[in-house]
Amino acid sequence: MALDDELRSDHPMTNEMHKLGSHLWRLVQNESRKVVLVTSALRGEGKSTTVAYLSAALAMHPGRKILALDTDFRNPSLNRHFGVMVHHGLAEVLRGECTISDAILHTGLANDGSGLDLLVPDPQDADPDVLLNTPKLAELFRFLRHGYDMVLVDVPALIPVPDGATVMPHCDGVILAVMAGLSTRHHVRRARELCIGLGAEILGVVVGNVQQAAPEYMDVNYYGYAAVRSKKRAPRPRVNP
Amino acid sequence: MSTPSLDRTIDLRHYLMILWRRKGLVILSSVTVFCSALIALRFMPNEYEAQVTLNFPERQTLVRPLEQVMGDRSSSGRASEVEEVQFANLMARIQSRAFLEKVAGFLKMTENPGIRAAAAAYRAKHPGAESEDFAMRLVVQRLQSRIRFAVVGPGIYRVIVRDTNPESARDLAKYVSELYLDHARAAAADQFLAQHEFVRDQLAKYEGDLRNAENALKRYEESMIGESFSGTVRAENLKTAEALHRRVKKGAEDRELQERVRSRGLSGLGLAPVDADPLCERPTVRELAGKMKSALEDAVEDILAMSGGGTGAGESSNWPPVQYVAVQRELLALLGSEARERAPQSTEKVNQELAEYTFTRIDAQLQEDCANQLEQSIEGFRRQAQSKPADDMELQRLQAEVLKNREWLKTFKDQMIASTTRQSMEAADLGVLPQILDPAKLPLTPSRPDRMKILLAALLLGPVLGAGLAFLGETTDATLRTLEDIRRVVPEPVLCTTPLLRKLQPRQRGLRRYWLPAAVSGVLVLTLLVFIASFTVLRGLATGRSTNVVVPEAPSTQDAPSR
Repeated sequence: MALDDELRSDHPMTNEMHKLGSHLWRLVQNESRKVVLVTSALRGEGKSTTVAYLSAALAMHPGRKILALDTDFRNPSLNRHFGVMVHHGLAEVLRGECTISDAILHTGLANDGSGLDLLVPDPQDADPDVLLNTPKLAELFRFLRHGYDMVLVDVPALIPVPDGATVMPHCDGVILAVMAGLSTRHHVRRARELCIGLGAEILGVVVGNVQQAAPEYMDVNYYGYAAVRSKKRAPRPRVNP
Repeated sequence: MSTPSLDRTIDLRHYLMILWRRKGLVILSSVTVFCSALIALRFMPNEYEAQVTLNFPERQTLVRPLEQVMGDRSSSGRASEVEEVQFANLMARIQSRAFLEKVAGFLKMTENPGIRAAAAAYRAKHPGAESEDFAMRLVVQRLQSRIRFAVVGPGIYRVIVRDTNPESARDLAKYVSELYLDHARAAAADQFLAQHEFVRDQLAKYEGDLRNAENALKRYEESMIGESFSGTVRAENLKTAEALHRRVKKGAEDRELQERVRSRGLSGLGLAPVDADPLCERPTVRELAGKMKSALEDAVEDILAMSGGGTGAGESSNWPPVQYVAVQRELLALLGSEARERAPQSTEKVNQELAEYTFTRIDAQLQEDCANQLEQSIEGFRRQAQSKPADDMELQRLQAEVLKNREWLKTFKDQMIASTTRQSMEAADLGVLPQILDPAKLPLTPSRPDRMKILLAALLLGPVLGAGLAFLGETTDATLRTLEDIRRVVPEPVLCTTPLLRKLQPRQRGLRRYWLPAAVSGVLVLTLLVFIASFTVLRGLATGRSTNVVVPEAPSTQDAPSR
C-alpha cells in the first residue's frame, strides 16, 4: 500500500501522524517554527519513518507546502518510503553542482505548487561531514524557509555520527524518536543531553512500538470512531509527479 | 492530569508481557529443572521404612494413688509433661551411642563388607586409628541417621527405621525396639535395687543419728535439772523462796536456841546431850523424823509452786505448815513414850526433859537442813539465770537435731516402703514399663523418594524459577519499554505513539542479550545439579548401602532381646 493510501486508512499510524501534524502546524502558525529536525539516539529507532509519515500527513491538507529533507548521507532511506528515483541529490546542491530546484523531488502528494517535496542525498555521496559543514547548508535552509511552509529534516542518529549535531543549529526545534523495547535509557539520556547542549529546543518525543510501550492506546475501536471515520473520509485524488 | 495513585496502579498485562518477552528463559528453566528432577530420581535409591509402635501404658487406677502416696516424682505433673519426658527418654536412649553399639554388635553390622572397606580405608589414612572402632562409629552414625521417632497418641510412640533393604529395615526395627524394652526393664530393676540399698543405708545412719541426738538431749536436760528445789525455784517465785528461806532459817535458829536452853536444863538434871543420842537412833523416831522432813519439803515445794510472783508470799503464808506441826506432835509423843520405855526407873520430869530436848534437836536439825537446801536452790537458780541464753540455744539445737533426724528417718522409711512397693508392682506387671503395641512388619512399598511429589514440585519450581529469572533480567535491563520509563528519562511531552510497522530487530542477539539472566540461570541450574548429585551420592553413602543386617539364628538368653 502506498504511503498516501495508508494515511487515508484507519491505521493507528495515521491517527498518530495526523495528531502530531496538527500540533506541529500550530507551532508553524503561532511561533514560526518552520524547520523541525527529527533524530534519535541510535539507528533504527524510527526517524525516517516518522519524517515520511509526518510530512505526508501534513501535506495531505490542501495549500500546505511541505519539504522532507534527508541529510543522512550514510543511509538515505526517505526516498524509499515514497518510491522515487534520485537524479540530483543533496550533495550536488551543497557542492554547487546543481540548483536546489533541480534536486527537489515532487512526490505523488504534490499538487498545484503545494504538497510534499523531497530533497535527499545521492547514494554515491561521501564524506558527509565535509558536505554538511559548507556555508551552502545555511543558504539551503534559508531558501527552504522561504520556499516552504514547513521543512522536516531527517538526520542520522545523534550518538554514533556528528551529522545530526551539525544540522541541528539550523533548525527551530527537535523531535526525539524513541523506540520502546529497543532504545536504552542511557542512550536516550545522552541524546537529550546532546540536543540541549547544542542549544536546540526539544519539542517532544515520538515513541515507536506502542504495542509494547502503551498497549492500551492501540485499541482504536474503543471510542467507536473507527466506523465513523471510514464512512466520512473521502479519498483524495492522487496527483502524479 | 493523572494522580500519583493512578500512576501506581498495577497492570497485570505489563507483567505478562515481561514473561512473554522472556518466554524462552521460562521454558528453558522449566525443562532444566524437570530434567534435573528426572535424573536425580533415576539415581536416587529406594528406601523402605519399618515401624514399631510402643505403648507406655497409663498408670492403672491402683498405681497412681500408690505412687502419689509414696511421693514418686516421675508420675507428678500434667499428663502432657509426663509424655514429653517419656518421648524424650525414648529418643535419647535409642539414639545413644551405647545402645546403638549394642544393636550393631548384636546384629553384627560391623561385619558388613562396605563398612569393612570404609574402615580399612580410614585406617590406611590414619595408621594410629583402630579400624574396629571406626567401623563401629560409622555404623552408629548411620543408624542414628536412619532411626526417627513419632508421637502417635498419648503414651504411644513410633520408632521408624529406614533402609534400602526392606528386610533389613524390619529386622532393625524389631531388634531396636526389643532391646529398648529389655534395657528399660533392666534399668528399672537396677534403679529399684540401687534405691533400695541407698534407702536402707540411709535408714541405718539416721536411726543412729536420732538415737545419739535423743541421748544428748536427755543428758542435757537432766544436767539442767538440779537437786532439791532447783527445779521449783523460778524467776516468778524467787522472792517467795527468799522469804521462805528467811522464815525457815529463823525457825531453825529459834529451835537451836531452845536446844541450848534445854541442854542447860538437862545438865541441871544430871544428864548430858549425848544421852539423847539413843533416842534419836530408834527406828520409829528415825522414821517419824523422815516423815517430818518430807512434810517440811512438801510444804516448801507447795508454797513455791503456788506462788505466782507476789512479794513476800512466803511470809504471809502459814508457817510452820499444819502437816509438819502434826508430825511434830506425833514425834514429841513418840519421844516421850520412848524415853519412858528406855529408862522406866527415871522420873517423869527427867524423861520429859530428855524427850523435849531430843525433839528440839531433831527439829532444829530438820529446819536447818531445809533452810540450807532452799538457800542452795536459790543460789542455783541465780547461777542458772546467768547462763540461761546459752543453755536455751543448746537445748533448741539439740531439740532441732532430734526433730530433723526424726523427719529424715520418716522420709527414708517412706521411701523404703515406696521402693518395695514399686518393685512389687513391677513384679506384678501393673503396667509401669512400655510394651510393643505393633511389631515391625516387612515394608512392601518404598517410602522414599516420593516420585510424584518431587516431579510435581519440579513442574512448579521450574516456571517459578524461570519467572524469577525473567523479572530479574527485566530489572537489570536498561531498555525503555513503557511510557513511564521514557518519561523518567525524557521529561518533554510525548507527542505521539506510533505502532511498530515491522518486526523489531534487537541490537544484541542470543545470549548477549540475556547475558545476566542466562548467567544467573546457568549458575542456579549448575548449583541445583551439583546439589542433587551430592545429595544423591551422600544419601547413597549414608543410607543407600544397606547394612545387610545379619539376624542371629539362635540368640543367647543373655544377649538376645527377651521378647
